Order: sequence, then structure tokens, then C-alpha cells
Amino acid sequence: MSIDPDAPAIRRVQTAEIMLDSLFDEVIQLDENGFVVTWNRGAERLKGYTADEAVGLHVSAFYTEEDVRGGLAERELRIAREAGKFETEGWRRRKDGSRLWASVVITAMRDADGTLLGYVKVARDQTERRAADELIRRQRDEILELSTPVIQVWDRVLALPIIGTLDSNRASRLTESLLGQIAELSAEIVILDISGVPTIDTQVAQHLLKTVQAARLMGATSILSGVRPETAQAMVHLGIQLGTLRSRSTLRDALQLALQMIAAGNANANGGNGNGTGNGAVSGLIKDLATP
Amino acid sequence: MSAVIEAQVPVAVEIADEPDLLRVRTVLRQHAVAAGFGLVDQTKLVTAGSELARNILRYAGGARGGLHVEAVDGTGRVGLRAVFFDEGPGIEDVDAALGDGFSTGGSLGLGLPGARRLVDEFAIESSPGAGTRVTITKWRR
Amino acid sequence: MTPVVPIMRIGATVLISLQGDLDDATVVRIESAIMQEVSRTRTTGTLIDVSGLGMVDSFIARVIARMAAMTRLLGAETVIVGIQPAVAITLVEMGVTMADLNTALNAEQGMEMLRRLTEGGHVEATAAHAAG
Repeated sequence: MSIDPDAPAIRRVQTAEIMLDSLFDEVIQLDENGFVVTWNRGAERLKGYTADEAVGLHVSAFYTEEDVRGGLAERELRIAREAGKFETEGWRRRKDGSRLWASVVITAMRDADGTLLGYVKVARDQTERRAADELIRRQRDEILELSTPVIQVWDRVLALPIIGTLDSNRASRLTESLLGQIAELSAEIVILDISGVPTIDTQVAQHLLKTVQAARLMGATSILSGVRPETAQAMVHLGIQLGTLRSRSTLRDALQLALQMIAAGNANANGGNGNGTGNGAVSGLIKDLATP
Repeated sequence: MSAVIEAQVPVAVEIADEPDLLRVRTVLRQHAVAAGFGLVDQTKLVTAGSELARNILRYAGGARGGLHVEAVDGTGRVGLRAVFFDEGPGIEDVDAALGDGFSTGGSLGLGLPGARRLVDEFAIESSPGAGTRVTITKWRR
Repeated sequence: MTPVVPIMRIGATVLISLQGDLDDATVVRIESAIMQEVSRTRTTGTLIDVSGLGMVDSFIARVIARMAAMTRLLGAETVIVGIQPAVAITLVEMGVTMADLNTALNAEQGMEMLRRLTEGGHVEATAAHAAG
């Protein structure tokens, strides 16, 4: 039996192949077990493998090491199998080991009886777009950072007005920056102003306390300012204990206290700097707030 | 870049004697620097490693122990993975050992829980007779 | 060949600088040397400078805390100075707050603190500590 190159069926296949190869995107076919059956030019461009090299490989060859360990490829195929289609974005790996950020659609192919024939996978390189997103995010973080500079309000007294939410990352950065300034400016007192922090929950309180403890290890005593009566109440309610940490409702009052402490020369004396987070000092906190 | 550095810095350190404690710290510091870790993250990793290495020296009963470090690739991030292993008697109650204040050595057992707080991923496998294996991972921020 | 531990005296104050990479045996030897010195002669204050330490783990922290408690029993106050930012952050993250220790930024501030602490005698410091 010979194949007539001009037969309509052959023509359709050839046209389909030309179509696939002129597509920029990767369009490949996997068998029902996830092994590569067809491979277009776009796939070669995206992944670096020629068709000869790629056909027969399991699709997990294009996933990162960590994802392979986590069984991500199998999971994605399973979802495509069960839902018919699966769309996702993630890191993929090229032949040379380098990474790209791809947006991927995996569609299950079934025959008229519903038997799974395999999968069609379409992928597009989104690395640049993701890099741009990352840059914007980083710039936004830096702007947020700039809105919280460490200010030297007096000789040996620093103030850190914290504005906005305080997540783990931000708290670390603020703490590092604060400690660096304590060292640089030989600060003895640090005023942490939290009037710009919308919610003081247990996590935020923990971040603050860690900052206070770290500052204390460097010989600096902390004063919390911007603690309104409602904030104090909320903290007591949450069971947040500030120990011997002094606090004032305004930055001005805190500065006044700081100057008093420096004048009296007892900023960080008295066995343990007086800033350990001991128990039963909630009453001390409320007493501080009541002090005019 | 990291491939070149690894050729110069040892990835495996035996933990059998006191001087090895210093060697572990040095190796971890070098790897952390090569991986581009900031000073704080370097310090956290070295400190965690010091705790885990000390555990091997003190509690593995003289059995073979060591450290293996490797650079790792996560989804879009790089990091270091350090495995501390020993063929000692193993820990009977791992959960208790991970709680603060646990102690069999007569001193405050801050080793494991403390180290755990300093890293991003912490896994421990240990059982009596099967030795102990602690794997810590820290990602570059 | 055990290296000598360099301890300085300024009047009734003992000063020591911890540097580099210290294994456990060295730390304990240093502690021993300090305790000997403090008990040997009249000492009212001890200044421990750790600015040369790039890392302080739980063992070193424990020994330092122990030393401070013991010197206090012998009538001397101890101040730790020079904890580096990265070390401070790490200690706090680990849960080692060293809350009962006197700390200062540097030797100058540390000496000033010792002066204040020992002015009225260490009894004053202990009382203040109890009052929290």
C-alpha cells in the first residue's frame, strides 16, 4: 500500500504540522502515562530539546528537581485527567538546566468512548512578565521601607515610627536596620512608635518584642509609643504581656521619658536592663499609661 | 557560580571530635557566603549548625557522625541544605526533644528547638538503634 | 598546648575579650579563668566583650549567663558588651533572651554601667532587679 502525498487526509496532517511549527508556543502531545509523543518548534525553542531528544521523555523531565521530588507532574496530569483541563503557572526546566516561568494548559485527550488517549500540553514563557511583577513588588517593599526610617531624635535616642502592616519579612528588615543604627549612633534608648500600625495582634506583638529584646542585647532600652488606651485594652485582651517594657500614648511623651531616663543615668542599669519580658507586668503597663 | 565555589569548599565534614565543631561552623559560613546569604542569615545557619553538631558530639555516644552540605534550587530561589547525621543511639521521643526545656544531658536542651527556629525547613528522623538524621534548609531571602 | 586566656584588670574591674571561633572547652576554660580571677582578688565588676564573636550559640550564652550569676554571688556585677546585630537577632530568634544579664553597646558604655551599678553596692542592683 502506498500513500498518495496529495490525498486530502495527508494534506490536512501536513497543514496541521505546519500550523504547529509556526506557533510560538509549545504545543506537545503526551501519551496517557505522560511521555512525550509529539514536539513542536515552539517546544524546542522553549525547552531546548529537539524533537528527537524530547520524544519518549517523561513530562517530569521539564520540571524542577524540587517539583519532581514533590510529584507535581503526576498531580497536574491527574487533575487534567479528572477535570478535563488544568491551567497553571510555575517554574520549568530547560535542557541546559536553566529555568523559565511558564504558563501551562494541559488538556486530556479522549476518544469517542471516553478512553484517555493522552494529553495536549500548551506552554508559554512568562519569565519576563514574572520578573517585571517581582520588580514592582520589590519596589513597593522599598517604598514601604522608606516610610519607616530610623530617626535620631536626640543624642543617643532613636525613634522608629512603624507605618503599615508588620509581617515577618518587614519586621526582620526593620530590626536589622534598627540594630545597625543603634551600633552606628551609640543609641541607648529606642522609641518604637506604633501609632501607624493598623492592627496589633499577637504576631505583631511578637515581632515587636523580639525587636525590643534584640535591641536590649545591644544595650538599648526600648519605649513603646503610640499606644492608645484602646490598643492597650486590645493587647490585654489578647493576653499580650509587655513585661517591663515602658509605653506611652504619644511620641512626645515617650521622648520626654527617654530624656528623663538619660538624665537620671539609669537608662540601662538595674540588673538586666529592666527590659526582660517577665511575668505579671501588665499592671505596670497600665500604670505607665495612667501616668500623666 | 555556585558550582565553582563548591569545588573549593568541602561539602562533607566528619563530626567526631571537638575541633570538628569549629570546622562545621567554618564550612557552613563559607557555604552561606557563597550562596549569597546576608550576614543575619549566615549567622543563623552557622548557629543552628553549631547546635546540631554539638548534639552529635555530646549525645551520639562516640558513634560516627557527620555533616553534608549542598546548594539547593527551590522554585525560583536558592538555598542551602545541611544534613547532620550520626549512628548513635537515636532519640526515643522526638516530639519531646523538640519541645523547649527538654534535657537528658543535665543542661537546658535548647539545641533542637533553637536550631529549628533559625532555619526555614527542619526535618528529623531518629529512633533507638537507627541513629539520627537532621536536615535543615535555609533559603536566600 | 592550652593557650593563655588574656584577662585584664582595671582597678576592681576584670575585663575579658572573647574573640574568633571558640570551641566548648575554650569557653569553659575562659569561664574558669575569670572565676578564679574574680575570687582571687577584690572584684566589683566584670566586663565581657563579645564584639569579636560572629556567633554565639546556646552553649556560649549559657556559660556567660552562668558566669554572671556566679560573679554576682561573689559580689561582682557583670556586663556583656558588643553583641553584634546579627548575633542579637539570632539569639532572640532562638529564644535565648539573656534577660537577666546586663548588656551595653560597647566597653565605654559598659564601664559606665558598671560604675553606676557598683556605686551603691550591688545590693542596689539586686533590689532593683527584684522590683522588676
